[in-house]
Amino acid sequence: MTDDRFEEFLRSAVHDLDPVPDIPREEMWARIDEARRFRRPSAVPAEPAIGPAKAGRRWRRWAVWPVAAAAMLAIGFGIGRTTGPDRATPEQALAAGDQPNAPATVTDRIEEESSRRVVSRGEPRRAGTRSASGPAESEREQPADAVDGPYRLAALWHLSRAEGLLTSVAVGEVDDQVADWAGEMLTTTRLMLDSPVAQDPRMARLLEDLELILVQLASTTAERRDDELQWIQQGLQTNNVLPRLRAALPADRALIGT
Amino acid sequence: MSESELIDRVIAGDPVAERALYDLHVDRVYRLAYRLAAGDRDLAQDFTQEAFVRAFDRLPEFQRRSALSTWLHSITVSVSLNGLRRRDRHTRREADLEEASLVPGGAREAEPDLKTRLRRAIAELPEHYRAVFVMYDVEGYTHEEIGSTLGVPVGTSKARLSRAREKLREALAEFAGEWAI
Repeated sequence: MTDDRFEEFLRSAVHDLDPVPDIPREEMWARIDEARRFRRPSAVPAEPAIGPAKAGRRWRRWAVWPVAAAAMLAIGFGIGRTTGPDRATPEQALAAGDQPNAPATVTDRIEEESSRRVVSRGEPRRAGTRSASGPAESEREQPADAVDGPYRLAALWHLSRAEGLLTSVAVGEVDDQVADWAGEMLTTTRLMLDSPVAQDPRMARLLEDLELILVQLASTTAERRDDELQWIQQGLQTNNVLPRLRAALPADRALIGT
Repeated sequence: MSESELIDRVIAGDPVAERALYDLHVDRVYRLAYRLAAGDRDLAQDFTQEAFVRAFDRLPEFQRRSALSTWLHSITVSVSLNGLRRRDRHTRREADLEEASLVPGGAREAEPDLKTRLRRAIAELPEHYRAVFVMYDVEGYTHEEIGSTLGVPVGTSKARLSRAREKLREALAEFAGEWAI
C-alpha cells in the first residue's frame, strides 16, 4: 500500500518537475551540419587494412621527423618570401602559433576550425592571392605538380609524416605524445594551407581534412583518449583521409627522402 | 519518403535527408538528453548534437533489426552518460578545491523544496538506474523499449526501476508524510 502511495507521490512530483524548455532545433542543427560537412562520404575507395606491427613501425618513423619537416617547410617559406609578392597574412600569423583564447574542448576546437573553414570557403585559402590581382590570380587552380621546388618537397615530406601518424591512429597505436605531435603537425599543415601547394584544390581539401583530424588529435587527453580516438578513427574512415594521403605521395618515397 | 529510404540517402551523403531524419527524431532525443542531464539545457544541447553526429557517422552500421528511434535513443543514453561522467569528474575536482578553501562554520544551506530535492536525488541515482527511471517514470517509455534501447532484458529494466524508486524513497524520506499515511 505504502509502495503504491509512494509511486503515486513520485509520479505526481515528477509531473511537476521542470517542463522541457523550447527545443533549440535550428541552433543544434547548425552545429550538427557543420560537424557533418567534413564527415559525409566522398567517392574515394576504402582504406586497405594495415597490421598493427607495421603501424607501430610507422608510428616510430613519423615521430622522428617532424622537426625535419618543419625545417623543410621553413626553407620553402624562406625562398617563397624572398621571391613572393607580399608580407604574411593574419592567417599565417595565426598558423605560426599565435592563438589567443584557444578553445578548450574538442567540440569547441572543431567548431572554431569549421567556422574558419566556412569563412575560407567564400574566400578560398591560397597564398597566391595575398594581393587581389596580378600574378597571384594567374597562380590560381594550378595542380600540385605545377608547384615545384621546396614548397612541393616540403608538402610531400609533411604528408608522408602525416600518413605515418594517421596510420598509427587508424589502428589505435598511439601513446601519450600523440597530442603534442599532432599539435606540431597542425602548425605545419596550416602553413601548407597558406602556401602555393594549396592552389591545387585537391591538395587543399586533403590538407583541410588533415587539419581537422589534427585539431581533434591535438585536443585529446589521456583520460578521454579511447572515446576520442574512436571518433577520430571514424572521421578518418568517413573522409577517406588515409587513401587520399597515400594517393598524393609518390610511389618511390626515396624521392622525398623518407 | 520512408524512413528506410531516408537512411539510405543519409548513408549516401545527402544532407537534406540528414535534416529530415533529424526533424523526425530531435524532440524525443532532446527530451531524453535533457532529463538525463537533470534539466541542464546546455548539456542537453551538447548531448543531442553529439548523439546525432555520432548516429549519422555510424548509420552504415545500423542493422535495421530494430526501429531507428531505439538505436538513436541508445546512442543518446550512451553519449549522455559518458558526458555526465566527464562532467562529474571535472565537478569533483572543482568541488575538492572549493572544499579545501572553505572556512568551517559557514552559512547552512537552506532547506530545499521537493522539486529541488527530487531533481538532485534523480541526478544522484547510479547511472543505469537513472536511465531507466527517467525513461519509464519521466518520459513514458515502456520496459520493452527501455530493454531494447539499453540492451538489457525487460526483467532487468523492471528491477532497475524498482531499485531506482527505492533509492528515491530513501532520498525523499523527509517528505514521507505525504505518502506514508
